[in-house]
Amino acid sequence: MSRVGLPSLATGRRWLIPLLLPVLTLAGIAVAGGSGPPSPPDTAAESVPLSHRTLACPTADGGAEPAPAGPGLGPVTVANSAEAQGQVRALAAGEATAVELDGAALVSVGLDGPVVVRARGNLAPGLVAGRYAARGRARGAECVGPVADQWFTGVGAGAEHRSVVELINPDAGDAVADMTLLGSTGAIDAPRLRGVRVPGRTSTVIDLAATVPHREVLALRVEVSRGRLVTHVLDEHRPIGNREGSSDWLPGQAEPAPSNVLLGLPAGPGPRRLTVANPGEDRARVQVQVLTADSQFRPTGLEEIDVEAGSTVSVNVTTLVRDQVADGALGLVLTSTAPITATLASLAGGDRSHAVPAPAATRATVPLPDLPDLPASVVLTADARVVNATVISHGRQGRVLATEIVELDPGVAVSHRLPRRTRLVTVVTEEVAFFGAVLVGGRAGSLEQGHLVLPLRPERLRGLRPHMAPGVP
Amino acid sequence: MSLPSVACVLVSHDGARWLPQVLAGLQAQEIAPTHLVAVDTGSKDDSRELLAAALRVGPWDGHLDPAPSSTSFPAAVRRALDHLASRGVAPEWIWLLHDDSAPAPSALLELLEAALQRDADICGPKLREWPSLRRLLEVGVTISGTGRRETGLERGEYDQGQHDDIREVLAVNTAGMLVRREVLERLGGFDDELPIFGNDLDFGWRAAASGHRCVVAPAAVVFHAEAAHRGLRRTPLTGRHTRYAERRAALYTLLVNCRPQMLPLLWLRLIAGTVLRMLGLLLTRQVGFALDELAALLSLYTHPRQIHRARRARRALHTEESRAPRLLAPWWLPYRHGLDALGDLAAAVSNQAQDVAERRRLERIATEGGARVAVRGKTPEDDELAEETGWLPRFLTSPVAWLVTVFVVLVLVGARDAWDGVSGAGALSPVPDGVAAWWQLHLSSTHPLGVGTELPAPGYVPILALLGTAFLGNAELAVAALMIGAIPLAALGAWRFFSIIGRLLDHRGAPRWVLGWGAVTWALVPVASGAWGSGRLGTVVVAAVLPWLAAAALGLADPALDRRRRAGWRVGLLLALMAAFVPGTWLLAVLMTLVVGLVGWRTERLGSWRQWRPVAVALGTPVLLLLPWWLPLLANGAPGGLVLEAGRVPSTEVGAWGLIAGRFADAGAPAALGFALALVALLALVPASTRVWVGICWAVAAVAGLAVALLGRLSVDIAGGSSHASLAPSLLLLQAAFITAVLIAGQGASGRVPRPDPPARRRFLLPVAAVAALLPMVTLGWFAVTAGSPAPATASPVPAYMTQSARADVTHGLLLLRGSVEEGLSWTVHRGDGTTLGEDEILALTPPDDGFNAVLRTMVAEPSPELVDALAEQGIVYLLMPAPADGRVAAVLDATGGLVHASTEDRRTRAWRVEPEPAADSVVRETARWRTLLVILQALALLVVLVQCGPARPDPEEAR
Repeated sequence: MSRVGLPSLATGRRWLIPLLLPVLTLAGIAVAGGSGPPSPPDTAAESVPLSHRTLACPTADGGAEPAPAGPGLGPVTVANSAEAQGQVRALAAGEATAVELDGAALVSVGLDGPVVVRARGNLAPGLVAGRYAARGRARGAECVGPVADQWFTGVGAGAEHRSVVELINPDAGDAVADMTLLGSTGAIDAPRLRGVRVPGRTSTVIDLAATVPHREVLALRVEVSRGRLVTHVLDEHRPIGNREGSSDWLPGQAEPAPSNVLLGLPAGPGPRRLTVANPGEDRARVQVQVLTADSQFRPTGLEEIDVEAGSTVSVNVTTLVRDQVADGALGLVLTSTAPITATLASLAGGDRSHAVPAPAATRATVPLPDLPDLPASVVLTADARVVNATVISHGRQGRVLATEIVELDPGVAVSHRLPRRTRLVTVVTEEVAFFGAVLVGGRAGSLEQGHLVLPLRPERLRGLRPHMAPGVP
Repeated sequence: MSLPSVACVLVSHDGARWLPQVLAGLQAQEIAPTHLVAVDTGSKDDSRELLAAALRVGPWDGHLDPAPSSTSFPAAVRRALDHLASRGVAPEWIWLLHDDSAPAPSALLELLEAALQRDADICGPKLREWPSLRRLLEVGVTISGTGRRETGLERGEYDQGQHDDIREVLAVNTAGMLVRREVLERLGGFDDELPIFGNDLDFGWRAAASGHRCVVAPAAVVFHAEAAHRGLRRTPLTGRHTRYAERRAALYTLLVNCRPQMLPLLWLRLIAGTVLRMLGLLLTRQVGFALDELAALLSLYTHPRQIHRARRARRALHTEESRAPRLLAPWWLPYRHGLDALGDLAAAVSNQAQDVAERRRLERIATEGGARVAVRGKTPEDDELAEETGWLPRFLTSPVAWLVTVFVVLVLVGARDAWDGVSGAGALSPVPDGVAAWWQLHLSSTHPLGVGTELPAPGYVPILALLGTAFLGNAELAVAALMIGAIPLAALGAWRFFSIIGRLLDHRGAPRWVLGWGAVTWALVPVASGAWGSGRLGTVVVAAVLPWLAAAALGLADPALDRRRRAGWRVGLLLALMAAFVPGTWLLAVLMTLVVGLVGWRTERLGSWRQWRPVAVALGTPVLLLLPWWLPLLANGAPGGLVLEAGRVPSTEVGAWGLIAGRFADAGAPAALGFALALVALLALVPASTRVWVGICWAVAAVAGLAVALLGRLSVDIAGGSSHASLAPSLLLLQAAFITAVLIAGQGASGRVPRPDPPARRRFLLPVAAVAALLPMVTLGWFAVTAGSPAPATASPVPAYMTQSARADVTHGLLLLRGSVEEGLSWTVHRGDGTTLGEDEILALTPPDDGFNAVLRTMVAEPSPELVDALAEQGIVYLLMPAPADGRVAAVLDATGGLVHASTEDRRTRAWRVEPEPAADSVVRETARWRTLLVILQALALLVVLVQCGPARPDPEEAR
């Protein structure tokens, strides 16, 4: 046995080494702990200042034929809320023009048709644009960037209520949109709305009334399956007979949510209609609450709204809203058991306007119509907790007319009146987000001036640059 | 009967050692030759004096012809004939004798009688070994189609009268040849081109071709020393290269005597035959002989005129009654010899691999006397079986045969799905379209993978290529056979290793049920660990090779230096094989050596360099053989490849508990089985009789633990993240140590150890043994029921038309973009037939191309036509975002000029075609010369290692 080696095993310390070896083995293994899963590399996207931004504004008449009620929109106005100066490009129908921006000063771009505004570098963050009626009642739309998937709730495809969809492709490559319509009984078969191809740098107009005639109030979903598209929807109410119709642009809603805040309730006589769409697979029970400067409460006379899965329900809330507005209501809060989209359409004093939910933001800027003596107020509510919002009003030349601090509480809304000559308003909070909208005309203004509700959408100053690395082969 | 006149011609050269007996034999002839002409070709010893003395005393007319030393055998015979003619003597017969061929007293009489009886012109005796042994050398000869001298005798066959019929043959040896003088003269004597060797065959063939009859008379016996053939005598004519001269003579004989229509075929056949013979000789480390073969062939093939001249001379002799064709060796004989040679080689390998245990046993017999030591392997069980004759009864009554059958059947059942192909499953990438791709991968210095890489192909690629080639190019079958065959191969190796260990412990060896337990348990380790099921080819191969390596490594302790040396080469080769699949095995071997060295140093038993040299060879061989892999790997800054393993990266994870239980992460048989084995291995330390040996096993396990501690935290940067070092070698070594420990304890429990524990104490271990015995059964059952095959492959998201485009042209790459903006995007490039087995590590270890990465990063944010051009320059034709594609990125790419939408089946998958044509030189580059040199070096090194691994040739003296 001595030939084998390990002499100490055969002699004195007979138990030591046999005991020691397993201990050593297990200790070695325990020290390393084996090889766990490799630590994942940091692949989070990097937040960088926005390097390029593209906005598209609707055609002056929304592309609708026959022309919609009300005057056509004026020139596109462009500004940079981040106080950057320089040149941006505006394109329309193959025509390109350079636009010199000087901070918040509004610059008009005299191009016809759908206008695309493109900014690069330091001009990209804070680029805003709008296209509003230059005379008559307040109407028009904020120019927005391409969105891959959004909802337009409360569109019409009938003789009295029709909506015209304008798809603008700001890029060189083709784009394809798939649209779906939800009615009261579910999705409406509309094959012509599927796979709508929009060639590069062109736009397409679809009159829903002509394409899919339907009497009900509907919800429209626009998904872009290829390329990028900017969608504007002109919504027109034209009663049969000789009565004057009214039209305005309906802002889109990014995604269905279980809680929706609709701010901006114009005063004045006329019908109000709340349309709720439930694109999910579960039935939604929607509770409507009124938001005032003092409280949030459930109004009497309005039951829970039941919305079947995949359907749209439109409720006449004329009396309720008119009375509540008279009592100081500033908005509605819709709480649902399932994600929904919603729009409150008002025909106050004969002028149509739409209040749609906007995502919570910590900074938002919107250009206002350049109409003389048009009153405007910003309606705000906090998302989660008390926060101070700074409201900065710029004049036409970009001069700051007022910088005011407004305290926001969750559960109540604040309506803050803007100086009369305000043409660009920016609302900023720190950390805590807010919901907001600008109500132009309406409450304090005369009915002849009409009204316009512009949702305060989060303003993108920074973008995400994705991490890029070779993958596992 | 009046006897005809016979002149004896005795040719001598430095034959004083044998001449006395030759001359005595001559003098003792029952009938004496009438004349004796002795031609001495310049002897420097006492030959001439001896001859002169003998010529004087004999009953013959004697003459000594002192010829110069340059005189060849044919010339010497001619001188003798000339002398006789000059004397006016015309004997009827000439009897040729060499100075090392002693005739028996009746030789001449028998030859004459036979010749006259059969009406033969040439008659030869039966040649037996010098001086008077009974081993037969020749009873007539003929020649085979490959030039081999065919005697028709077994090697070392004894003369028991079995060849004593007089029969016609093609030729007889010139030693003792009796030939009619007229025939000898008519045929022109012997050919001068054959100075020493082969002239008898050539003469016999010529004689047969011209219708003369040649017979062998076995009653005439001549004892022949074959001095020239055996190299005992060197003359200027034999030169130093006896084999060269013999081989040249054989080839010459064939080429000048064969039928004209056979000549072109023979010409080619001899080339092929020479190459084969050279290979065989090289493999048995007979490099000199191999060169002799080559030189013999070249010496003839470079002098075609010589052949032509000789053939023309022979044409005149040919007659219609040629007797040659039926006297030549049958056509199949060379093939039978080839098979015999292979069988001999296998037997030699097997015998050489006779383990250290056997030699220790023999040593012990020598030192202790054989009293205690029974005949090896003759256990009572063997005796019972040995009595049986039929294979069926033997099979039916053999528990081992039953065990093997059940094991094989269950393994085949368990691996049932793998026969359809295992590639593409789990960690095993799909195999390439053909074996040529593997060869190409191995031979090229740059590969058109990804965006082009200079990283070398892994070491296992040439092995797979060789295997695939052996499977007639079916790469899929080769991999499936490797995966499935590894299990029985591991069992076989384990059986062998454990039986050696068993005999090291005790001469009776381990009981076969213990060996069977060990072999099956080990063979199931790759299956139970989950390596087999997850397609970890490297781990599976290492598991199959490890027991063979361990058995070879035991040879490093052999007392005989040559065997130690061979063991060193063998271990080196097997280690290289393992390291080709899992290079960490080499690191583990180095660590093991260091630990053993350290222990040796501490205990002052380090030994000399002589003892360590084979170990150094064993560790150096993998480095040499894997140089075409490891050198460029280090040169390209990717040393991480040395701790990964074959197959897809990252390496399979294994936790601390997994290591102890022998289970890779979330795979394999229930871990409880593994823990049970570890526990039994721990309990194996309890019996005192085997504690030392079990302790050694645990020491090996401790080295594995040390390796885990060293490598466990090591992280290797790879494409798309990082990978831990492969811990498969440590896991396997731990399992091997555990199983061996249990096996040794099992042998102890059976009482087959020198100082067994008392039976009472052994009974105490019975429950533990029962648990251990259950483990492989349960595992095997689990495998047969659940395993099936490695995890199925996931469907490729790449549309078929894109795959076809990529296959058609390697520059038509396909860029796959995965991920989302928030979680990060990653890209891979699909070329040819995609990432196949052997390419994973190359791609994973290739340093990221920052430039191309930046192009892509910019492209998804701010695309421009210039960036699209950059894609084309990298040989990208399609861009694909598999479902679910991030709409934001897809939208940006949609908007990019130069990218055109391409169709996909799944709407959520997005694809674009790059409009600019791809650059032809994007990824295809020329192979560097150094790569070719490295591969040649590797091939040569492999040849040398294989030759060195071969069994030691028996010492010629010892063999005699």
